[in-house]
Amino acid sequence: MQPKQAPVNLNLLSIRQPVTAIVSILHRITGLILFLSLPVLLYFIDLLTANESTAQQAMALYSASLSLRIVFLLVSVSAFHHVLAGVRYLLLDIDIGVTRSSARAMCWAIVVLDIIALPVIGWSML
Amino acid sequence: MSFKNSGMRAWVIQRLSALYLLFFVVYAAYAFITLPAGAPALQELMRGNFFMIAFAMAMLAILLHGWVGIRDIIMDYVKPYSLRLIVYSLTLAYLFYLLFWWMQIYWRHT
Repeated sequence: MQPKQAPVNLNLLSIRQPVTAIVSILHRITGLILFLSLPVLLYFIDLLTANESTAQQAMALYSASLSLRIVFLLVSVSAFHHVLAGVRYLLLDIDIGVTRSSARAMCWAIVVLDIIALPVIGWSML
Repeated sequence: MSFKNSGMRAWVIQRLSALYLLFFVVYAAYAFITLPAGAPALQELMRGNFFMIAFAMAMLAILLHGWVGIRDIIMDYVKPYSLRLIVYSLTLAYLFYLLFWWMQIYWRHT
Protein backbone atom coordinates (compact mmCIF):
# COMPACT_ATOMS: atom_id res chain seq x y z
CA MET A 1 0.00 0.00 0.00
CA GLN A 2 1.23 3.44 -0.86
CA PRO A 3 1.95 5.62 2.19
CA LYS A 4 -0.29 8.62 2.38
CA GLN A 5 1.55 11.53 0.81
CA ALA A 6 1.91 14.71 2.83
CA PRO A 7 0.73 17.72 0.86
CA VAL A 8 3.67 19.61 -0.61
CA ASN A 9 3.09 23.21 -1.52
CA LEU A 10 5.79 24.41 -3.84
CA ASN A 11 3.89 27.37 -5.22
CA LEU A 12 5.52 30.17 -3.24
CA LEU A 13 3.11 32.72 -4.70
CA SER A 14 0.20 31.06 -2.90
CA ILE A 15 1.75 31.84 0.50
CA ARG A 16 1.75 35.33 1.97
CA GLN A 17 5.47 35.77 2.57
CA PRO A 18 6.66 37.39 5.81
CA VAL A 19 8.48 40.72 5.44
CA THR A 20 11.79 39.07 6.36
CA ALA A 21 11.44 36.70 3.39
CA ILE A 22 10.67 39.59 1.04
CA VAL A 23 13.69 41.62 2.21
CA SER A 24 15.84 38.50 1.90
CA ILE A 25 14.82 37.57 -1.65
CA LEU A 26 15.17 41.23 -2.70
CA HIS A 27 18.72 41.16 -1.32
CA ARG A 28 19.45 38.24 -3.62
CA ILE A 29 17.72 39.75 -6.67
CA THR A 30 19.38 43.17 -6.21
CA GLY A 31 22.75 41.41 -5.79
CA LEU A 32 22.23 39.69 -9.14
CA ILE A 33 21.19 43.00 -10.75
CA LEU A 34 24.35 44.70 -9.41
CA PHE A 35 26.51 41.82 -10.63
CA LEU A 36 25.00 41.98 -14.13
CA SER A 37 25.28 45.78 -14.29
CA LEU A 38 29.06 45.81 -13.68
CA PRO A 39 29.98 46.07 -17.41
CA VAL A 40 27.74 49.13 -17.81
CA LEU A 41 29.36 50.82 -14.81
CA LEU A 42 32.86 49.93 -15.98
CA TYR A 43 32.07 51.18 -19.49
CA PHE A 44 31.10 54.56 -18.04
CA ILE A 45 34.12 54.68 -15.74
CA ASP A 46 36.28 53.89 -18.77
CA LEU A 47 34.77 56.76 -20.79
CA LEU A 48 34.77 59.22 -17.90
CA THR A 49 38.41 58.69 -16.96
CA ALA A 50 39.95 58.31 -20.44
CA ASN A 51 40.05 61.89 -21.73
CA GLU A 52 37.98 65.07 -22.08
CA SER A 53 36.19 64.11 -25.26
CA THR A 54 35.19 60.61 -24.08
CA ALA A 55 33.98 62.13 -20.80
CA GLN A 56 31.77 64.58 -22.73
CA GLN A 57 30.60 61.67 -24.85
CA ALA A 58 29.59 59.75 -21.70
CA MET A 59 27.66 62.74 -20.34
CA ALA A 60 25.89 63.21 -23.69
CA LEU A 61 25.04 59.51 -23.87
CA TYR A 62 23.59 59.63 -20.36
CA SER A 63 21.44 62.71 -20.90
CA ALA A 64 20.23 61.58 -24.33
CA SER A 65 19.01 58.14 -23.32
CA LEU A 66 16.06 57.72 -20.96
CA SER A 67 16.42 53.94 -20.94
CA LEU A 68 20.05 54.28 -19.84
CA ARG A 69 18.98 56.56 -16.99
CA ILE A 70 16.33 54.02 -16.01
CA VAL A 71 19.08 51.36 -15.90
CA PHE A 72 21.18 53.62 -13.63
CA LEU A 73 18.12 54.27 -11.47
CA LEU A 74 17.52 50.52 -11.16
CA VAL A 75 21.18 50.00 -10.24
CA SER A 76 21.12 52.79 -7.63
CA VAL A 77 17.91 51.57 -6.01
CA SER A 78 19.28 48.01 -6.06
CA ALA A 79 22.50 49.15 -4.43
CA PHE A 80 20.48 51.02 -1.79
CA HIS A 81 18.43 47.97 -0.87
CA HIS A 82 21.39 45.58 -1.11
CA VAL A 83 23.46 47.72 1.28
CA LEU A 84 20.64 48.11 3.83
CA ALA A 85 19.71 44.42 3.79
CA GLY A 86 23.42 43.59 3.86
CA VAL A 87 23.97 45.72 6.97
CA ARG A 88 21.15 43.72 8.56
CA TYR A 89 23.10 40.52 7.95
CA LEU A 90 26.22 42.06 9.50
CA LEU A 91 24.14 43.05 12.54
CA LEU A 92 22.69 39.53 12.73
CA ASP A 93 26.28 38.24 12.89
CA ILE A 94 26.79 40.19 16.10
CA ASP A 95 23.41 39.02 17.46
CA ILE A 96 21.48 42.21 16.80
CA GLY A 97 17.95 41.72 15.49
CA VAL A 98 17.74 37.96 15.92
CA THR A 99 14.42 37.80 17.77
CA ARG A 100 11.32 37.55 15.62
CA SER A 101 9.90 40.91 16.62
CA SER A 102 13.16 42.85 16.13
CA ALA A 103 13.84 41.05 12.83
CA ARG A 104 10.39 42.02 11.56
CA ALA A 105 10.83 45.60 12.77
CA MET A 106 14.20 45.94 11.02
CA CYS A 107 12.82 44.51 7.79
CA TRP A 108 9.83 46.85 7.85
CA ALA A 109 12.25 49.74 8.40
CA ILE A 110 14.23 48.60 5.31
CA VAL A 111 11.03 48.38 3.23
CA VAL A 112 9.98 51.88 4.33
CA LEU A 113 13.45 53.29 3.52
CA ASP A 114 13.33 51.58 0.10
CA ILE A 115 9.96 53.16 -0.64
CA ILE A 116 11.26 56.60 0.42
CA ALA A 117 14.50 56.15 -1.56
CA LEU A 118 12.81 55.22 -4.84
CA PRO A 119 11.25 58.63 -5.62
CA VAL A 120 14.17 60.55 -4.08
CA ILE A 121 16.78 58.75 -6.19
CA GLY A 122 14.42 58.73 -9.17
CA TRP A 123 13.80 62.46 -8.98
CA SER A 124 17.51 63.23 -8.80
CA MET A 125 18.42 60.90 -11.68
CA LEU A 126 15.68 61.07 -14.33
CA MET B 1 36.10 23.46 13.14
CA SER B 2 38.30 23.26 10.08
CA PHE B 3 38.64 26.49 8.14
CA LYS B 4 39.13 24.79 4.81
CA ASN B 5 36.10 23.40 2.96
CA SER B 6 33.71 24.41 5.73
CA GLY B 7 32.34 27.47 3.99
CA MET B 8 34.01 29.58 6.70
CA ARG B 9 36.48 31.04 4.21
CA ALA B 10 33.71 32.13 1.83
CA TRP B 11 31.82 33.60 4.78
CA VAL B 12 34.84 35.63 5.98
CA ILE B 13 35.60 36.88 2.44
CA GLN B 14 31.97 37.88 1.96
CA ARG B 15 31.79 39.80 5.26
CA LEU B 16 35.16 41.59 4.93
CA SER B 17 34.48 42.65 1.34
CA ALA B 18 30.97 43.74 2.41
CA LEU B 19 32.43 45.96 5.16
CA TYR B 20 34.86 47.63 2.76
CA LEU B 21 32.16 48.10 0.11
CA LEU B 22 29.84 49.60 2.71
CA PHE B 23 32.37 52.34 3.47
CA PHE B 24 33.24 52.81 -0.21
CA VAL B 25 29.59 53.13 -1.29
CA VAL B 26 28.89 55.73 1.40
CA TYR B 27 32.03 57.68 0.42
CA ALA B 28 31.31 57.44 -3.33
CA ALA B 29 27.64 58.41 -2.93
CA TYR B 30 28.66 61.44 -0.85
CA ALA B 31 31.40 62.42 -3.34
CA PHE B 32 29.06 62.19 -6.34
CA ILE B 33 26.13 63.97 -4.66
CA THR B 34 28.25 66.93 -3.54
CA LEU B 35 30.02 67.24 -6.91
CA PRO B 36 29.37 70.31 -9.11
CA ALA B 37 27.57 69.43 -12.36
CA GLY B 38 29.45 68.73 -15.57
CA ALA B 39 32.16 66.48 -16.95
CA PRO B 40 35.28 68.39 -15.72
CA ALA B 41 34.46 68.04 -11.99
CA LEU B 42 33.52 64.39 -12.47
CA GLN B 43 36.79 63.73 -14.29
CA GLU B 44 38.83 65.50 -11.66
CA LEU B 45 37.28 63.37 -8.92
CA MET B 46 37.54 60.05 -10.75
CA ARG B 47 41.07 60.54 -12.04
CA GLY B 48 42.31 61.61 -8.63
CA ASN B 49 44.68 59.28 -6.80
CA PHE B 50 42.41 58.79 -3.81
CA PHE B 51 39.37 57.76 -5.85
CA MET B 52 41.43 55.57 -8.17
CA ILE B 53 42.98 53.60 -5.30
CA ALA B 54 39.75 53.44 -3.28
CA PHE B 55 38.02 52.21 -6.43
CA ALA B 56 40.79 49.69 -7.12
CA MET B 57 40.22 48.18 -3.69
CA ALA B 58 36.45 48.31 -4.24
CA MET B 59 36.85 46.49 -7.54
CA LEU B 60 38.79 43.73 -5.80
CA ALA B 61 36.12 43.55 -3.09
CA ILE B 62 33.35 43.50 -5.73
CA LEU B 63 34.96 40.60 -7.58
CA LEU B 64 35.37 38.54 -4.38
CA HIS B 65 31.96 39.47 -2.98
CA GLY B 66 30.28 38.87 -6.34
CA TRP B 67 31.92 35.49 -6.71
CA VAL B 68 30.77 34.30 -3.25
CA GLY B 69 27.23 35.63 -3.81
CA ILE B 70 26.76 34.28 -7.32
CA ARG B 71 28.24 30.94 -6.20
CA ASP B 72 25.56 30.80 -3.47
CA ILE B 73 22.84 31.47 -6.03
CA ILE B 74 24.24 28.84 -8.42
CA MET B 75 24.46 26.24 -5.62
CA ASP B 76 20.82 26.92 -4.71
CA TYR B 77 19.24 26.83 -8.17
CA VAL B 78 21.54 24.99 -10.59
CA LYS B 79 21.37 21.34 -9.56
CA PRO B 80 22.81 19.19 -12.40
CA TYR B 81 26.54 19.06 -11.76
CA SER B 82 27.62 19.44 -15.41
CA LEU B 83 25.42 22.49 -15.87
CA ARG B 84 26.70 23.92 -12.59
CA LEU B 85 30.31 23.64 -13.82
CA ILE B 86 29.38 25.48 -17.02
CA VAL B 87 27.69 28.30 -15.09
CA TYR B 88 30.66 28.51 -12.69
CA SER B 89 33.02 28.80 -15.65
CA LEU B 90 30.94 31.50 -17.31
CA THR B 91 30.81 33.46 -14.03
CA LEU B 92 34.58 33.23 -13.59
CA ALA B 93 35.18 34.25 -17.22
CA TYR B 94 32.88 37.24 -16.71
CA LEU B 95 34.67 38.28 -13.51
CA PHE B 96 38.15 37.92 -15.03
CA TYR B 97 37.04 39.92 -18.09
CA LEU B 98 35.95 42.73 -15.77
CA LEU B 99 39.19 42.46 -13.80
CA PHE B 100 41.43 42.87 -16.87
CA TRP B 101 39.23 45.62 -18.29
CA TRP B 102 39.48 47.50 -15.02
CA MET B 103 43.28 46.94 -14.90
CA GLN B 104 43.50 48.57 -18.33
CA ILE B 105 41.62 51.59 -17.00
CA TYR B 106 43.78 51.72 -13.86
CA TRP B 107 47.17 51.49 -15.55
CA ARG B 108 46.25 54.19 -18.03
CA HIS B 109 46.58 56.57 -15.06
CA THR B 110 49.81 55.48 -13.45
